[in-house]
Amino acid sequence: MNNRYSWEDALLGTAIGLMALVVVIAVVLAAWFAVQIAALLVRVFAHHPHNRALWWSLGVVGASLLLVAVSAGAPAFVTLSAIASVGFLLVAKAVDLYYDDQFQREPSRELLLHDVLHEPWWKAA
Amino acid sequence: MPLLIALSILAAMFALAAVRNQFTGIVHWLLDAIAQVFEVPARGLLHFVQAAAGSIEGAYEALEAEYPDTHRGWLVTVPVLYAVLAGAIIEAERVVTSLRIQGVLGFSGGGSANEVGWLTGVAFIAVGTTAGLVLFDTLKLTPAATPFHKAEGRLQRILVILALGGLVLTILASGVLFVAGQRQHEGAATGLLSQIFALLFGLLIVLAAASALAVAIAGWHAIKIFALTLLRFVALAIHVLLRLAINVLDRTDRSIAAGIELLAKIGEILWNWICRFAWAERLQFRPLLYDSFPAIGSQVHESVLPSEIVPEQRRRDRPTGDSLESEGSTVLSARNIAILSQGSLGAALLPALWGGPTILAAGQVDPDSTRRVQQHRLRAPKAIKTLTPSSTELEAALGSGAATDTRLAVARLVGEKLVAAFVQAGVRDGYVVLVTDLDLVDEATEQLLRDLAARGLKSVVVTEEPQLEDREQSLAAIGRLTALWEADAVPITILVSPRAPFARALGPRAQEEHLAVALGSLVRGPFDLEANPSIVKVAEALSGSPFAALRIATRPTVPRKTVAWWNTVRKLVAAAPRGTCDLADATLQTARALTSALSEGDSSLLGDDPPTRRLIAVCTVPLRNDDPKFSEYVDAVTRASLHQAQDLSVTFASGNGAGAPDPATPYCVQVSILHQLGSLPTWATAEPERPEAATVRPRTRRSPAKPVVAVPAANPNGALP
Repeated sequence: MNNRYSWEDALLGTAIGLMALVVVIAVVLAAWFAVQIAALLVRVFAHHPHNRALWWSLGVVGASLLLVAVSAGAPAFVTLSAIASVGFLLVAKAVDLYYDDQFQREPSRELLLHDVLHEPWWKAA
Repeated sequence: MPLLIALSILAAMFALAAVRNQFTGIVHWLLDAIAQVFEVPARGLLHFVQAAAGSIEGAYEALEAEYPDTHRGWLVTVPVLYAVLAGAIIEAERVVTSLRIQGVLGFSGGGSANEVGWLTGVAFIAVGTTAGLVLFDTLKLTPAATPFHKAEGRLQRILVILALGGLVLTILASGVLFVAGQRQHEGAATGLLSQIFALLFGLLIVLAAASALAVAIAGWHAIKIFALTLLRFVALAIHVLLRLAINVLDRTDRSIAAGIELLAKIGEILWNWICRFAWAERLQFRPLLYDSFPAIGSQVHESVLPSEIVPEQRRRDRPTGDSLESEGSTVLSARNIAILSQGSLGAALLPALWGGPTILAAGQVDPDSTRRVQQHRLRAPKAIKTLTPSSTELEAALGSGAATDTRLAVARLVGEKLVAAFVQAGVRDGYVVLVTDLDLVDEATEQLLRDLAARGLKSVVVTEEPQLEDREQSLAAIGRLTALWEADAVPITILVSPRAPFARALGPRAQEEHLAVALGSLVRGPFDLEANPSIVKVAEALSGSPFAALRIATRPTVPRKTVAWWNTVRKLVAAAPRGTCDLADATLQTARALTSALSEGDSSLLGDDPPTRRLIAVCTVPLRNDDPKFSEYVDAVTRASLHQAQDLSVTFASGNGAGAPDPATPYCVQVSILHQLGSLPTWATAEPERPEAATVRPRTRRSPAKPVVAVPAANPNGALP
């Protein structure tokens, strides 16, 4: 009886350990993506401060967030602000690509691992 | 009542402001006392970590002296493995012997049957493994480093026999054990077999323990390394945890101090305001002044730099990182390049060259164009210093009588600021790229270049034929540049002309853009690829002649795969395709551009004949230098260039070529060939009575390079603060 319990405990411990590992990896990746997004926004605004598309999309995000605040978090406005934020990021990436005169790096798992683990996260900024 | 409340609040605020220092001090003292409990062992552990690193390095050196051809990993692993085997055998022997002594003396008790069986099994496996290891080591079939490995002749034969004997005995013992076990299972007597097994096992265990112990003792350096590494790791882990605790205490202290400061701020402002009145002074009211406390555990944080846990020996062996030459390889410190520019060519090229990641300082020597450049919205990072003298600096220089002429004053100021910037950054091997119109290479410019050379800073000059031809002025400038080359101040001067075939074919503006890419690629080359020489090394490779010329050709290259959603954007804004590099196409276009630059007359930026002497090609490719394809491109182009021309060296830079706009692709490769100039163009040729400026004279006087500008010890890596 004791053996069964200890086996189950061991299994539970392993499962918890694996989940913790997955959570750690997810947190690290989320942090890396957050830094990359911040670096992208800083970079495009610093390099192309007069780009109207950027300011318009930022304005839409600001307006939608204002609407969320005024409507005390109405689901429709929350959805709108989420869409506006994604659109803003897309516009920023498009502006970055538009003015980038170098080839894009082909995305691969190895490059992602290398970038996350060995490169300075703010390098692109 | 409200007045009473207001006065009470005011009094409380004054009281809080008055005792703020004491209150913060008490909290700081308490937390600091707790931190001391962590700090003392943390510093002790750090000392141990450093001492252990030194001992480990010493033990490695001793091992490597004994076994010079063996990898460090094997030096440690094998003796440790023997030590583990010896430990297992001895432990098993101890238990079994203890049981036998108990049996002989008639005691009961002892270990359980399971424990004895388990230990005997472990010992049996350890014995067999030891015999096998000794055999393979003696026959030199392993990369191990043990005394057995070094055995030769008779000793080797004896060891092989012993190891083989051990293996045979192990097999015999296992056979006897198997038969005895089977007979016991069948209920038959096993007395004789048990005695034979005990005898065999006893023999084996002694033999194996002796062999394993011999290696473990002979390789005690390895055991020491293993044990110290283990201890060092544990000590470092505990040290880091202690530092974390100290950090938490420090942050707590700061948070509490900030909270108290916030509460006391109003009282402090009011009190200090009151103290400014005369009546308050008469009453000897004093404004509140506060002490600042050092961070908790600041000493332990200051002492824990990554370099401190590196062994002393390794620290000594490290390259300093700011030397151009280090054991044959090029090591460039960041930001050791200054770009100077004057005249129309300088004004056109400076914005393209300024702002790269490699440049320490940049500036206009010519004050007339300063305003234009400053209005150019240069997006230079703050780390890049401007050398352009301000009007105040200029007035001060002229007023002090240091220089009578404005241009001389500007040149002197630029030189001083440049040297100061290099000294401040700790640059040891800095150099200068001066882009100027030829007619501005006057006495002031010459003096500037000589001053810089006197401080060990060599300059590469890029200059352009004057728009309005003034033969005397051109000849004087050419003479100055030749004299500077002879004095080793300017290893090379690159000549270009606005009337060159390239400019006639594509326009002067396009020529400037291509020239900027070529110069930028030469400047940033070493930062993109470690094997690339610096622009000064390139210049020195060509310095058999004071002047060099450029030939440039570009080719568009198409992306292989476009970004998935970019086609939709393209339809909206009519943008060019964006995607990843087609390596084959980029290589092919580079090879074609190289051929064009070498053979086509339109590629010349001076109007000279196709080059035959020393050639250096700079391939600028729109690939990021951290893209794995960049190194593949370098290999492919290096191979392709071998057949293009003799005496051709190729360097590489990451960046887009300055090709004509192409709706099919925005990507362009550019090949810029720098080559020695055998004879000067006609506009720089002297009249018959001054033949010395018309041809390239052999170098008659070259002074050795000066030791360099001062190197402050505090910032040896050349990084700007």
